[in-house]
Amino acid sequence: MNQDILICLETGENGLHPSSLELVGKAFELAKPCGGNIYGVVLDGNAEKLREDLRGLPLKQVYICPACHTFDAQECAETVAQCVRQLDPSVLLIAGTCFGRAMAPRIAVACRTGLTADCTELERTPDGGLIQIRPAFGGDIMARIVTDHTRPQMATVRPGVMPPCEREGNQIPKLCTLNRETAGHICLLDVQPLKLVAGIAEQKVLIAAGRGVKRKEDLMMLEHLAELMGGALACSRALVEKGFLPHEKQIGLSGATVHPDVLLTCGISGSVQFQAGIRRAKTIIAVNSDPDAKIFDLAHIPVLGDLYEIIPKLIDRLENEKNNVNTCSALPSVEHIESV
Amino acid sequence: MKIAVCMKQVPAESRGLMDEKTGVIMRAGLKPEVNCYDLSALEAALRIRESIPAEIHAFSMGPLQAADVLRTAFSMGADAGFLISDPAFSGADVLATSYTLYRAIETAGEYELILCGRQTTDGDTAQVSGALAQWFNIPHANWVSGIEKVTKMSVTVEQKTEYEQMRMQLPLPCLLSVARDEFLPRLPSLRLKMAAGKKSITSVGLNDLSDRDMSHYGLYGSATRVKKIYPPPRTQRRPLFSGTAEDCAEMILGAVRDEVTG
Repeated sequence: MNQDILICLETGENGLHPSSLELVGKAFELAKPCGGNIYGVVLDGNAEKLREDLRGLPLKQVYICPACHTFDAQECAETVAQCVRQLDPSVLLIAGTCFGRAMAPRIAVACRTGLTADCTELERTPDGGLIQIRPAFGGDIMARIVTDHTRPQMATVRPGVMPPCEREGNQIPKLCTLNRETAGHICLLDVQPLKLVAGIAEQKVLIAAGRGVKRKEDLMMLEHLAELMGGALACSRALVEKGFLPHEKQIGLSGATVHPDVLLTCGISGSVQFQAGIRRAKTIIAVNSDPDAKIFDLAHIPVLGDLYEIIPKLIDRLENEKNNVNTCSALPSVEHIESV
Repeated sequence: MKIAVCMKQVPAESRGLMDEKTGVIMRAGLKPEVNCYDLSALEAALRIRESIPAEIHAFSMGPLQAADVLRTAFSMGADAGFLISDPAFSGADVLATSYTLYRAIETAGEYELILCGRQTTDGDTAQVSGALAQWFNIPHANWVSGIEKVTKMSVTVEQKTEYEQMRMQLPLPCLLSVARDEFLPRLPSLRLKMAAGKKSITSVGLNDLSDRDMSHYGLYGSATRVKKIYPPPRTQRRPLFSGTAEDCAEMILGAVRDEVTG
């Protein structure tokens, strides 16, 4: 058995998906303790278009299967399983995107191996063992998970959780086209780009509401604050589960990874699963009435207090300034990004 | 048409489960409830049954108390309930859980559609549905935000991924994992609730399955092993700011200004 690592690379309109670069970066680190090569497999890729995107990445070889359809997880999983049979890699890494999360469990079953989803950290032992670290039991406990007897050791990683790979040198990895007959069962009728009208991942200013917000009506106060600050309202998982806000407003491992300039969290305790989504926020201001709240570990401005007292004062201040024409507010209006 | 719906019992509170000093998981006294995402899967099944004749069977894997999940399913309109429970099934990871569900669903006949929720609130991995589809060797779609049309041969669904909204047609049998917001569950009806008590639940244990090899289930059948659990490391924190609400508001406003004006 070898110590090689296989990565499922994902492409989009702008070439290689950022999450793929993050996986390559991590794989490079994971190869250090025990050696081994790094391979990639691209489904639904155009080799020529991809060539430049792969320049300088520490990949030995990249398999391309142009016949695969990313919307058909069954077909894609079969292709990756075929690569696994051919390469017999020790580790298989997949991005925790919609595509990756649909395909990964199917590959795991096809290879009769273990899969740890949404790892926040990965480590490797000198004998090639992959330590898969992720929050467990709802997010307040970390678990170190191993795959003892089966290979590949599979893990998915959510986009934005790990730093991207640095490119080095000028080399392009060897490309190899898999001329596989695919037998897809799903028929695509029509595709439309989603109009993400200022999704929370694109905002410069975010107000995030958590369990400390007691009633659904109270969100109006925070919504108003977000408006005054030129930002948007987001939330932790707890409020999505309570049905207060839709899933697209959720920050965290099972929600969105955000990177605003300012993140103001209100009544959020800061579970590991939430923290995983905010590591790239520039300034985190946390309001919580519990001095032990984990969010204070990460906050740049930790404010101990009751959000129901502080937020109204904050709104008063901002409203007064808005009404006073002579006072020039330092808060710029945020351009709403229409991303397609 | 026969529809299988997978439903899981989870702790109602999804946090604060570990004593940080002793490292012991505190499960006792936690109120169990139905994983809210699975109620949406059942809702989707009920809506399908409103458009074409269908029989809805709910499956729940867990300890005996998970029978409550099936009673909830009855009170919303499920026709039959299967409790997949056996000491041999406990401690299962994605691989073993999906295999157990596969073997258990198989005992109840053939289904044209298998419906799952998008994830659970306790495991949070959203991986069992895809694994289950692979065991059955049938196509599947995740993040299904709409079910347009169901015929004897196929189902047409709408799916929302990060950037796209797609419409696609899957042949039957297939598995769908549905989004929550578009399938908000109905409230249990009083009439069905009254009748739910009389409905019987079918127990499925290891001996009922076609594969009775214990090493394929539970902890033994799992490929992954939790080596260690620990509280997340606490990092050095900055001193907490506290004061009157006005002081706090002032402080926050100052920090926001510093950032946005740079």
